[in-house]
Amino acid sequence: MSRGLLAYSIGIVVFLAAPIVIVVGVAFTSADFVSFPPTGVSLRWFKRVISDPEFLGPLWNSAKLGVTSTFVSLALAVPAALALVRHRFRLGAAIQAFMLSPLSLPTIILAVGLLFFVARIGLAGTFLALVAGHAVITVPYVLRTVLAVYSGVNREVEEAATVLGAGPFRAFWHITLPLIMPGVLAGAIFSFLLSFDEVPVALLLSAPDTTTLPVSILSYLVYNYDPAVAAVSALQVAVIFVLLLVLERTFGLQRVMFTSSNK
Amino acid sequence: MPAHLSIREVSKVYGGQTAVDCVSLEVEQGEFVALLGPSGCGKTTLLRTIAGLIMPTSGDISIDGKSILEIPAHRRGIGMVFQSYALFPHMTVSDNVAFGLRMARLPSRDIPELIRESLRLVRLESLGSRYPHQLSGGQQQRVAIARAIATKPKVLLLDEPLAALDAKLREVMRVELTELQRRLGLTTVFVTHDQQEALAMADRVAVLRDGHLEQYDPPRRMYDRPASAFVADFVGQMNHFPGRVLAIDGQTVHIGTDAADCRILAQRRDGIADGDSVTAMVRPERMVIGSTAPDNAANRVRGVVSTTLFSGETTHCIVETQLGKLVVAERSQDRTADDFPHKPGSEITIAWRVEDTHMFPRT
Repeated sequence: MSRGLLAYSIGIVVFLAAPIVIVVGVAFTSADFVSFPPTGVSLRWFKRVISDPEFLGPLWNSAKLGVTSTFVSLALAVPAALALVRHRFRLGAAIQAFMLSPLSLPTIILAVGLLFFVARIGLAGTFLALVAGHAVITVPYVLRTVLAVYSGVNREVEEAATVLGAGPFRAFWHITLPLIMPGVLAGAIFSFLLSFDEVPVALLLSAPDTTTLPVSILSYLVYNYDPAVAAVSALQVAVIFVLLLVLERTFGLQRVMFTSSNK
Repeated sequence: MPAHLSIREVSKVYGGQTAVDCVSLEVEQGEFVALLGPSGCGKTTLLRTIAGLIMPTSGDISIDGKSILEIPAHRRGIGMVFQSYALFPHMTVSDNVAFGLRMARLPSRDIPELIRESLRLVRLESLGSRYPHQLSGGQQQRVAIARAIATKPKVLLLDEPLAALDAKLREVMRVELTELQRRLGLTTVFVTHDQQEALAMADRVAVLRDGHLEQYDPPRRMYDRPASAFVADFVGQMNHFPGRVLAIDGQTVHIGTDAADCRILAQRRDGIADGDSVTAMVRPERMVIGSTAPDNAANRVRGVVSTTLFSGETTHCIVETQLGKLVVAERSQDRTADDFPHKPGSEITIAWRVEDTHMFPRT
């Protein structure tokens, strides 16, 4: 890599990482107020946040929401991906475009639309409404990754399984699923992360008992400005970091995000 | 237990395109049949129809007298080797071979021995714990075969099994595959576009063209008595002489060629009458150069040697004649060192017998 390109790359990385570094740094401060660089190193804010129901409740909600909406997303996107790849039918392109369309929609617009609809049918503020909203947002991500991986699976491999005596379900379970697993897991992890981090839909659709972590951080910030926020954010970053690390170690981020080979 | 496979008037139509057009074939128990033809002739479609991966538009396929069309692909008891081998990349060789046995829910204590038996038949006993990507192309192909035969299928299907192998390996595998089939006595159908392969391995060859069955015969008969111009040309090599029937004199047909004022003599056959447009064809090895031609070789033409192509056992001689460019094939050892190869530019006479001229109507 040339010197110029290297310098440029370093610059980009620093630019992208800086906010995170600062937030995590502030979280470890021993001071009573937000300061960077941290005036001393302490875990007091972490301890404060972990024992505070104002954050714990939403954290639990976010986790529940993330997992549930991911499962719904998988249930919708995985069969769709399988059908789209194997059976090229006339409406296929249209269905694919439709399922990927949330990507091109600003989430706040989606949130407002959902709010009106959900209020209309009397589900305002429910966990179900949040799951539905998040599933819509995350389906495109799961669909994309599974499509990418499944396109690279040799069709004859599934046919071989069939001729060898595997009915449709067994062929899927023993052959297709293991082969698309990188795409499924990548999609699932993206889906969870997206949901965990999501603000517009959660903001508009949540009720006091279904508040998510990002929403609770936002409301905390309205009246407070102390390192507790930084600590919560640092925890969130830690969760995301661990999940991405798991993904990278097991399947390789590059393979899952950019290529469709299954070697 | 090898089975009798019956294909009766099977057709497959896709939208406006007919991939397979009313093909009927009987494959006897233990017989090794080749489906031969150029790309797009419907041979792979037909094979996949037998496997159950494609549903025919019309017609019937039965095994031992019972129709299998209603039976889904995973219950037909057929073994198949795919062109890409289609090994399960996430499983070891042993697990690949065992897959069919596990799907059949055989008792798990019997399976290891059955795996060993299959791998032994293809001489890969020691590679059970390897993964497909760790094997060479030839080894992968053997695993694919072992996997297909492990379940002791009624019929074995092979889709261009040797196509991906290099020339030397292909020759070796031709012999091995044929011996394996004989040993197991499995009713086998294999698809190929390589006519040498079909002739070498099969008990009977079915030549397909544009979905039609052109001829279905043992290799020797197909080679010696091709049923149509297409088969004559596709199987083996031919010298072509388009022309017209000038006269029929007893058992001999006089053909006037388009190329020159020369006449070619052929044996009379049904359906050809005076004045018909025909194509005469002669196999390169039936043409004889020079003085060694038999006396009853009534067809003669003079020419000048253009090039010779030595390929070991055979030497092909390209000769410019009044009838056009002819290819003559000789056994290399039939020539003495002095007149081998024929020097380019030398004048020679080519002769062949009347009965060695094939004749087909020209549309």
